[in-house]
Amino acid sequence: MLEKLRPDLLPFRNEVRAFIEEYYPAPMRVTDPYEELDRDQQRLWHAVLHERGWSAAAWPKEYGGPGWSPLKRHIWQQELARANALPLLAFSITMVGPVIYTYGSPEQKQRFLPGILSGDDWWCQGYSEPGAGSDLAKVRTVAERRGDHYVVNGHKTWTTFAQHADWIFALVRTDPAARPQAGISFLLIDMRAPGVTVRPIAMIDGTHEINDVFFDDVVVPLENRIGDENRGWSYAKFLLGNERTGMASTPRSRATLGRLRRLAPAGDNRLQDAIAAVEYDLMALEAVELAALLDHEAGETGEAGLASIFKIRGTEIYQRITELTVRAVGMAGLVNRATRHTTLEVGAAGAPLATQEYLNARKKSIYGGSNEVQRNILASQVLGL
Amino acid sequence: MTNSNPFRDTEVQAMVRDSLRRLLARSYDHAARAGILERADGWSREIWTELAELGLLAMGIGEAAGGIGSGARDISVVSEELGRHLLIEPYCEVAVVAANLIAALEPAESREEKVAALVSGQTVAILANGLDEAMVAKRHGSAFHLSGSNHFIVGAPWADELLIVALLDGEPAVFRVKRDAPGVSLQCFRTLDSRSCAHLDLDAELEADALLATGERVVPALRHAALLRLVAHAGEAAGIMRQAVDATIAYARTREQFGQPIGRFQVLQHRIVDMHVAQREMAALVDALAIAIDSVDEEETLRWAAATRHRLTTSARAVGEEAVQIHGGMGMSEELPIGHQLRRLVAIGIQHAEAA
Repeated sequence: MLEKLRPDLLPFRNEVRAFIEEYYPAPMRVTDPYEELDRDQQRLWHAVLHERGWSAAAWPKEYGGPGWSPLKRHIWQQELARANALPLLAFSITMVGPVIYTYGSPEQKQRFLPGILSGDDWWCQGYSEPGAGSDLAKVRTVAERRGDHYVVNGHKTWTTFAQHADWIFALVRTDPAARPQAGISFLLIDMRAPGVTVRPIAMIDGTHEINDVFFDDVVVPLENRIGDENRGWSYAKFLLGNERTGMASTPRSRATLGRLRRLAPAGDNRLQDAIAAVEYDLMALEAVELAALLDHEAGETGEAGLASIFKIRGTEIYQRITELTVRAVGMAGLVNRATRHTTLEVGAAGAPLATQEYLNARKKSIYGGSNEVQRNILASQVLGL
Repeated sequence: MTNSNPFRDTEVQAMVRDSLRRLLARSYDHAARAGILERADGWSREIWTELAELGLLAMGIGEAAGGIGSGARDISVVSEELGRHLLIEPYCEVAVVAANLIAALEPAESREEKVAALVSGQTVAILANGLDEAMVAKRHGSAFHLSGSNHFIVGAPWADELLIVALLDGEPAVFRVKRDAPGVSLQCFRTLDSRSCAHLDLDAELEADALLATGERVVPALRHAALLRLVAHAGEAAGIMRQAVDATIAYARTREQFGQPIGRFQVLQHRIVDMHVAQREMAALVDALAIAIDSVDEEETLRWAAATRHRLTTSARAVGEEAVQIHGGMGMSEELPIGHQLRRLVAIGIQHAEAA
């Protein structure tokens, strides 16, 4: 509906659509990009966008963003999803970048932002620990101050693509005596520093996406701390809020729903009814999102709690679409990621990965503050319960 | 293009909302409503007149046709506020459906007068059927004979006149019939959501001036009125849902069991959050539908209408059910609005159930 409400944005849409069609790298057009492409191939698109000045769509112009309005950024996301483009690394562009340009020193901005913009530096997130998941304030990784540096010891986990990363941004405890939230600092740690070990974690969808990261007397210079010592929790909260803004992910759900419709047998009425129902759910979310986008476009902040609503509903709907896709592909859903090349080409394009995508999507209601935590936030901060 | 957000109230809409809130807070609380339901005719002419005097009955009609409205979103704004108080009076049936039909079909020279009669509260007109239940009209010289029947006509017992869809010479036509004319037989009863309703048997001779319109204008006018009816009902549902969520929050904060307010229990917190989310989605869907009607196109309108109807029959009712559950036995009682809200949400859902 946006394109009809705001026809003035049509030239922009056409421009970015044409750009993606022309410049999306051919080597990246594969069925299973995260498994089939190596680290450098996954970054080809980032390099193309960097050259065009579009690698950090949401960043302010002064830090290298394109200066797009909220509606233009949304259209950009819609067009990327429509083209099934591999998303840029969120940990760099969406997460640590904004923390650095918001809270970092001039030296830190100068040092780190260029590598994030260009995609040359690959970042991962050091938040969760074995004993600190949803209850993130319980992090126990310790950074002990010794002169001009910290010595870091601890264990981070669920670290996406740590095996590729040059840097990790980590929450570490700098004051063990303070109450949990008050004693945390936000450190940028070189993954190649002595004492950093990455160990892969095998997951239910057969990917090597996530890892354990161990810190064993890792030396981190003081100048790699963002902002003040022991104020890391507030920077982390800023980042989590930032992370959730795009979490309605309606463009990706729309594109995935389109593929589901192509895969679903026309004569399966019960499946077709279920698809219609999930599309109505998606439309309800799109309506809430469109209203919020138009608020942002007009410079209004919008209503409280929307980020949590987007996270909850966006992930539930995406998961539902992947569930129905498994149903739509029938027996092809039995294909295993590791052996799919040895089996017959079954069904339409995309069908052989349906179950792996469904399994992978289970993470969405867990990460970024689990959906249960989001409901806690809404209950206490918006509904006053 | 301006930056104004069509999902948000204009200045006029905000004023309308405000005056409705004040009026209904003053004169339409749960006890007052219960009193109205005890009356023989089951509605309040006084509140109807007050709504008319505030101009609210004219909000759904464009200025060209004698109203003061600017489109479908005005209807959703008014309906949402009426829903919060479970207004019994036939705003949707008269000020939205009948008034828009008359505004679309009445000849230009009499249009303003006829619309004015409705929106001033003087005359109550109710559409008695749709195309699917069209009656039969035969010409008798310059006069007509209409026959047929229809069931479950909400508001018909309150009507001064009924608008009848009938096939005339094989074409859809709309007639106007006085409710107390010979050959008009109403079997009146109350619906589950306390509306006065009737079955109609019609076998009547009508004068030439009873024919409101025939020809190609009729079908689009009926379709448009049906869409506006959906906006009104869905807007009302969004208002009812808001009230149900707010009442449930208030109850959960004060009702104590096992030594603490039940709102401290996480399982209830999460369920109330889901009610809240469903309400926000319903409100946004109605807005999107109204915006599509007002300023986009037919394709978008039909998409949003389908999604809205689906939610009316699923999540809207679910919010009503959850409000009853969390209120416990009190939610089952007639004493609180909660049960009335569920019945109205169910009734709205029934009226918009998708064809199988």
